[in-house]
Amino acid sequence: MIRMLTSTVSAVIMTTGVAAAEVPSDITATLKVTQWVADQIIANTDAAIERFKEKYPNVTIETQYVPIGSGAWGEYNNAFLNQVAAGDAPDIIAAAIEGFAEMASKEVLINLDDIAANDAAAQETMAGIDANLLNGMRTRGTGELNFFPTEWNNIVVFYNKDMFDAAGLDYPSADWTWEEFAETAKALTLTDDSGNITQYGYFVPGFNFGLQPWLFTNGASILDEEWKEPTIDTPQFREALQNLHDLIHLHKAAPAFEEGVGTEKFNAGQVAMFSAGHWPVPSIKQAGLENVGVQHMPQKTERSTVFGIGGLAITRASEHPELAWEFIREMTGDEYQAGLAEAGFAIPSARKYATTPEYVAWPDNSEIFYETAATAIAVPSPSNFSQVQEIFMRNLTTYLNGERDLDTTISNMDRELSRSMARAK
Amino acid sequence: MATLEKREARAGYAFILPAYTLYLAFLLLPLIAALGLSFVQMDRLNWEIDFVGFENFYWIFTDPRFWTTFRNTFLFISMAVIGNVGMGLIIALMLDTKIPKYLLYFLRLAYFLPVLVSLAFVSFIWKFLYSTDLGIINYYLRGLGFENVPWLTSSSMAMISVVIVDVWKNMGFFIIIFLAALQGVPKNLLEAAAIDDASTWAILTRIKLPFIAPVILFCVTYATIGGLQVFDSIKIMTDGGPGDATRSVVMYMVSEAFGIGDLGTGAASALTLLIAITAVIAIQMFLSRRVGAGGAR
Amino acid sequence: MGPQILPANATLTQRLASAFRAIHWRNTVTMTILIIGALLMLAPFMWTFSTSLRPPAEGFRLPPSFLPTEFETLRDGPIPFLPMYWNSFLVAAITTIGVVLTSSMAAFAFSRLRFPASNLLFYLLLLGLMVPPALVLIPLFFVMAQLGLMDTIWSLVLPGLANPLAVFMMREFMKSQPREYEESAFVDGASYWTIFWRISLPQMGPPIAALSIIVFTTSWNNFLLPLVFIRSFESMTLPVGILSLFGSYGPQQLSVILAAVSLAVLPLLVVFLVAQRFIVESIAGTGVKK
Repeated sequence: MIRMLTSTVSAVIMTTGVAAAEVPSDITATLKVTQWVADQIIANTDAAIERFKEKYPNVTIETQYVPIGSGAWGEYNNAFLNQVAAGDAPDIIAAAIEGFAEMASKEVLINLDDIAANDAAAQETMAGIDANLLNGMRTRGTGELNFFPTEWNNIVVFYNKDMFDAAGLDYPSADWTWEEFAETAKALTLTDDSGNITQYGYFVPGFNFGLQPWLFTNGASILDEEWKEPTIDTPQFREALQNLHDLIHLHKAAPAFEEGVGTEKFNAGQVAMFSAGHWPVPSIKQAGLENVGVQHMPQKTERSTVFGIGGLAITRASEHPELAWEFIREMTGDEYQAGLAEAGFAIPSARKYATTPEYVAWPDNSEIFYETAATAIAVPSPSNFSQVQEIFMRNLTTYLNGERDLDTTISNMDRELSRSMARAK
Repeated sequence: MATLEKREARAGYAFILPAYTLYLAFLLLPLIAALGLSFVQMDRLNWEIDFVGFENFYWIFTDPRFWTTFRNTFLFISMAVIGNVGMGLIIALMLDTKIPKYLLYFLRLAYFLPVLVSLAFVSFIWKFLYSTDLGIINYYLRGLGFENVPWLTSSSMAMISVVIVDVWKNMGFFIIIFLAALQGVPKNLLEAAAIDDASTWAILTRIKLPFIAPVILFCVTYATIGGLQVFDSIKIMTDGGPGDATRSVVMYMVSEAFGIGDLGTGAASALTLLIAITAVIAIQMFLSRRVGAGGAR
Repeated sequence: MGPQILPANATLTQRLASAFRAIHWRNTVTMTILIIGALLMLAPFMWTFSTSLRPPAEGFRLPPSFLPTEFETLRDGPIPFLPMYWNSFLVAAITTIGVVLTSSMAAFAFSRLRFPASNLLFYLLLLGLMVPPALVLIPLFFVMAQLGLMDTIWSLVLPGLANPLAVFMMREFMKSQPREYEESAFVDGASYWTIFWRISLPQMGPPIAALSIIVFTTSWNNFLLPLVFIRSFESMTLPVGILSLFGSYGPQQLSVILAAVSLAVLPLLVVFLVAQRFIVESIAGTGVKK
């Protein structure tokens, strides 16, 4: 049944082409839109629905939201696939880059290339996005454009300037090294009279996305450039893991490794630096921290960081793909982007909204957020992403908690990942 | 006479019909369907089903991680049952003494409050409390001159830590059950014992415990079942880690079935668990029969 | 016994000594242990609400602004928290009433009526006790999709109504009750339904109260089912709603979440306080009858 439907829909698209079909404004239809939960997404979606209602008064948009924990994109991807499996697929699905390949690999999404090519406004939107980001939008492997961009994020270092001042340290420079970073973190770690640590220099990111730059800045990665083979068993990868281990156990400049971003620890003054994208900015502001700066990730062999981009896709189960496309345009257009910029969580994918004076006003050095767009590396997101993330994080946690040595960790990770990658082909 | 029997039988079926229909539709038949999956390999998206016989079972039996989760589950159950039922019973016995009414209300509420709060949320609080270097528990332990305890970050501690949360969360339930049971201990027996000047210990072991023995065994069974199904709290606090130190069979099953999308392997591990647990419960029920009969005598 | 009567001219020392003797030592020790235990049980809540989970020495850069502003945020925020309240209540109430009714009926049959295969059917029911809810999730998913109930509160109510534990509990309680009343009513020619409704059910006050608390709480706090079945805020219940408040990247609005949780616990507290009295009274009542 599902199969029949999808083949019919794709046949329709192939013959008529979605963009060619004008959608009459008096069409009566219902569109189901599934996204992950985030304040700014809900608010901006509600605004987009209001605008859409003016053009298509008889269209009902049903919004669905899936809550996800600390960057657990694998679980989000699975929730969607299970929904499709039960024959309950939405018309439009939002995903982060971590879900692009995994969702698209099951052939449940429409290729948006032709539609976008015939849509002048879409072309304009795409032209306003950094080429590197846009490239990341394409589903690796097939090269299809399944998702249309909404927002993106990278990883930088947030630092508490007051704590730097108190320790008599200079603020970090754009080309600081791992060694300088470790020294800084050590200097920012404070102990009280009885030897208890009251402030840590750094919080080691306890989430897959946040850990990637610590690999990239040493030329290491979990997977090769094609996201086909594991590249775990390399000196660079070992060095990167060892470095994180040292920050916690040797320099004692970071608390014991735990899951999470660490924003609340930064806000509470428990750590002087942590790694995140733009999303914690509103909460740091709300916590009353004023003197905060951001800087590029420290480098070992190269300056680099990670990026992830989010977008909206149309499922093949949708009965109104043309209409769905119209709504996606509303959700990715100028007003939506401006709303995202104002909310201040993720970085709008359009350059012009991510580089306004208001957007870069705080924290210090916020220009680097969009600056990294040109060079950042996409987070490895193969079609078996949820397994890759699980294998990486589980093994890394054991190692960073001092439960297992580096050799065992590397060999376990390599073995499990090799099997998973082989099965995914 | 035959018609009377028939009438009674008809009534019997009629009375169990609503509960049984719901049970069949939303528990038993889905269960059978899920177990049927353990002999197939199925792609959840296009419904292609390949019969693979016992291959899924072969796979899990040779997967060391499966046995780790199996061991973890039984370790968790044994500790959680002792904690929940044992401490619950002790506290219920203590509450069943002469305590001013307002204090009794406060105490009952204090011990029962965690039962009321969603596990999904309390696990989150505990995760904060347990944090090794930044957590509140260790903050106070350091203040008392102790070393940091790696509550959730060491594989030897993590299981104990999740059991503590489980006992904290569920003990109140067992306290209330035991309190209700203790209220049912015949007053004339207790009065007679008081007249005979029987010691507290004698009253406890000769009257109270034998009287509530069936309830204790019911609680053990119930706690065992609860322990078997443990999922939410561990999922949020450790996600099975560090490594696999706290991963339960249910977590293994969910990650195989929903995470990797291998429904067959997930179902096979579930069936294995179900057989093991049925054996455990059967033993407990057998014991409960014997003790129950002894108590009645 | 009562307190010792002291002469009017007793010295202070005598009075103190007398008061000292009057204390039930064993009781005091018991009570002290119980109070300490109770404080330990409450400690996580106290810490949560008083310090927003920060060690005190770190200073309060954000003093725990107490609830009003958080409630406003909840009311006006993009996540419609208050309607979720109603959903949770509806689901828990329907489930509780349904389970109490169907399980006491089944318990009545299993404990009072003789019919072929009753033991077999009962043990088959017990099998359901051992099923981890996560296991039947996949088939249930398809059942709900087929019935067109995905994303409605019925996808939470119906699986909640299948409750073998309730049948088991009610049967155990009913078996322990004397059956003379029912037998004499039967001899008088009353129908089975009348016997059940008029005689058996009224005897079951305490177990029904206990069962209601359990079922209501379990349903109110159910996390797994709504996480899988519910997608839209219109049908969402509180636990997943609270999870939604965490947003996409963790605990950035802790105080709002705490306010939400205190709101979520409130009805359960009321249910417990009411039912606690009821349990105690009804149990005391049956004790008097004996």
